[in-house]
Amino acid sequence: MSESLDEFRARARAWLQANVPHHAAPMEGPESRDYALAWQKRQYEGGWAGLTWPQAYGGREASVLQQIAWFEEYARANAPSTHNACFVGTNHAGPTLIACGTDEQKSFHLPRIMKGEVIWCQGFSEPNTGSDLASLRTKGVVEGDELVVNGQKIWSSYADIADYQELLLRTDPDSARHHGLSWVICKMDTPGITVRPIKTMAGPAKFAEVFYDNVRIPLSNVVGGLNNGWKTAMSTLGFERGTASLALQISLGQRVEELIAANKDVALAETLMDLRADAAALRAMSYQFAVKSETGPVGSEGSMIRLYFAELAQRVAKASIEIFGIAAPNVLEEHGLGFDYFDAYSETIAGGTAEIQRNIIAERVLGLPRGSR
Amino acid sequence: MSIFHATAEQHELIESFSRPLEEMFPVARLHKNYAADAAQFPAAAELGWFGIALPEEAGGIGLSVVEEALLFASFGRHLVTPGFMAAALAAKIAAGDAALAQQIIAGELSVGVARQNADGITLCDAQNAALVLVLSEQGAALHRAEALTQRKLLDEAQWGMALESAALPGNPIAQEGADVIGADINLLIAAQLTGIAAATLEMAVGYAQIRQQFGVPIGSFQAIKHYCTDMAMQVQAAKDSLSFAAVSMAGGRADARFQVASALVVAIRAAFFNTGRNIQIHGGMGFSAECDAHLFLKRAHVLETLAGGLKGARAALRAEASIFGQDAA
Repeated sequence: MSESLDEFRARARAWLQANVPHHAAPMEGPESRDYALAWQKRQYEGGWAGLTWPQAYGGREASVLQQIAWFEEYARANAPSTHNACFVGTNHAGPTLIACGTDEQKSFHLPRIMKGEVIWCQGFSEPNTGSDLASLRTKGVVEGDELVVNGQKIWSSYADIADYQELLLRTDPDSARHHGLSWVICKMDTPGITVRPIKTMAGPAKFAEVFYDNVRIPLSNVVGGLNNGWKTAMSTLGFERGTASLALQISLGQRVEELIAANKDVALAETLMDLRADAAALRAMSYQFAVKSETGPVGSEGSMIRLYFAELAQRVAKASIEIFGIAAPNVLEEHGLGFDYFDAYSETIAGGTAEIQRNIIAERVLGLPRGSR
Repeated sequence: MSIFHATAEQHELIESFSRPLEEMFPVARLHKNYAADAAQFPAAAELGWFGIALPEEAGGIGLSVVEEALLFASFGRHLVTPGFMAAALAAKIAAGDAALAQQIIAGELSVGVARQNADGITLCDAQNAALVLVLSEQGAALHRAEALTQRKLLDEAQWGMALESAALPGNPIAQEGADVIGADINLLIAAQLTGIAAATLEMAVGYAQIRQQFGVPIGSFQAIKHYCTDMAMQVQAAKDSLSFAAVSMAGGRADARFQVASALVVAIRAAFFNTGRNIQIHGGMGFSAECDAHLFLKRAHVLETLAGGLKGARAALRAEASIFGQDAA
């Protein structure tokens, strides 16, 4: 109880120094699964998993200041990206189950997520459902005590190595838009599921398409009530404090510093100072948001930080190619700057395009009237 | 007590000044008389504004640079004369001369501001000032106005205030090096620019909600929405950088100078971006002299000049050691 923030930080730093893996995370396939699970397990055994989760579910329920200290140390130690194969489980499916799951669902799944035993993936987007999530069509028909699922999902990260999927279905055939959806736990080895990995412009197969052909899922896997899936899907919004992204943001600041140290081009020096200032601003915004979120509900300001990060990440990635050139070893190597640069193009698309984010911010934060999309 | 940002109490305290600010400094005053603020030094002194961050035993209010930064952000919103910044800074550097400091804090001696350049100094809205504070890379130096030589009026119209040139004066009555006063200068300029960015965002959003075209408010068009969102992000970045920087200074954080230099770079860009977009969103009205929009743009340029320019602000940031990878909290 009486541990000070400084002591907490020192303990985090010592543990990270001793435990951060020395080799970089594999980009895809079973190796990336094993790596992510091993790292999650290690954090669990060290007492560092579930930092943001409530104690009632085995979490550490760390204060926001502790979370900030942890993720700062995490970035400083060059620990594996928090957006790895365990991310959906620890930061999305887990919190959704905490908010809306039954006791059985919680007691079965939460420990497995926390201990690094399972990978979760998301099944929200569809080929014709990108920015407009409420238009989704993959259907689940109730038959006895089961749902029979037919349809297709896409852009499902790590679906090829996942054990479970948080699957959003249209379970009321007469419903439209946000109504009549259900949030369902889908076991990925259920008969009728086909997963086809999709290679990205950055190289590895980070995403997958998932096809459902008469996939039978027990009704007991519905989370938050049948036809109540939109509310379930939105329940994690209140959970998000933005601290999980803090490690990524600080890593971005570190990359800017590396570029400043390496740059010899006077013409780029000013650009780099803008990037330095913006990385500092991003951190200031995240701290403000995190501290505010601890004392009361926060609005859509989080989308502003998310968007600011996405566009800054792209500018930093572009600057790194300008500084080193396309033929430099650190650009061409595996996990190199070339990969980062290409991968950054997804930042303003995944999880809601920058354009949709701007609409949301304009309407919800600034109060501008809705218009046609 | 937040270790990163201004507290709700600090915000509330400064918001209690919004009424007098509204009454004393409606932006519209500048359409009639660009030099209107020169007469307001005693009234501002009455409210304690020039000594807000000075200890009570020095005749100040005894608050910190956090409240001071928030106050100057409000000044930015109202396009209050940069002479007020000069007065607050002059009171700090004149601390060794209690009588002089007292006269500044009491508004008995009005202060104008100038920036040193290659040929001498550029004075901004300092025509009626008794004292002139010259800002430079080296810090700040306070002079009696009558000690200035080769003083010449350059223009009274283009930038919304009188610009004058003068020779670089010697023998200041008080001065302070950039290592001591530099962060205060940059913080107060960043604060005013942040206020300008915030005021123009509100102006643009307000107009987008009421201006109708094609039968609907123009704010329902995505093009306008996206401009407004970009402006809002600039404000968020500038505000939070400012608050973090001020709290870092007040708390004596090792990286305080970095935070201030960074906040200034962010604030200059935010002010230019937002004042420009605000004119664009106001369309033809925004281009007209009777609209307030151009006043904000022009003031952003004056403040940027007083800070030594965006180039200078970037150079100042370059001189600071990195904050990333060190202890942050």
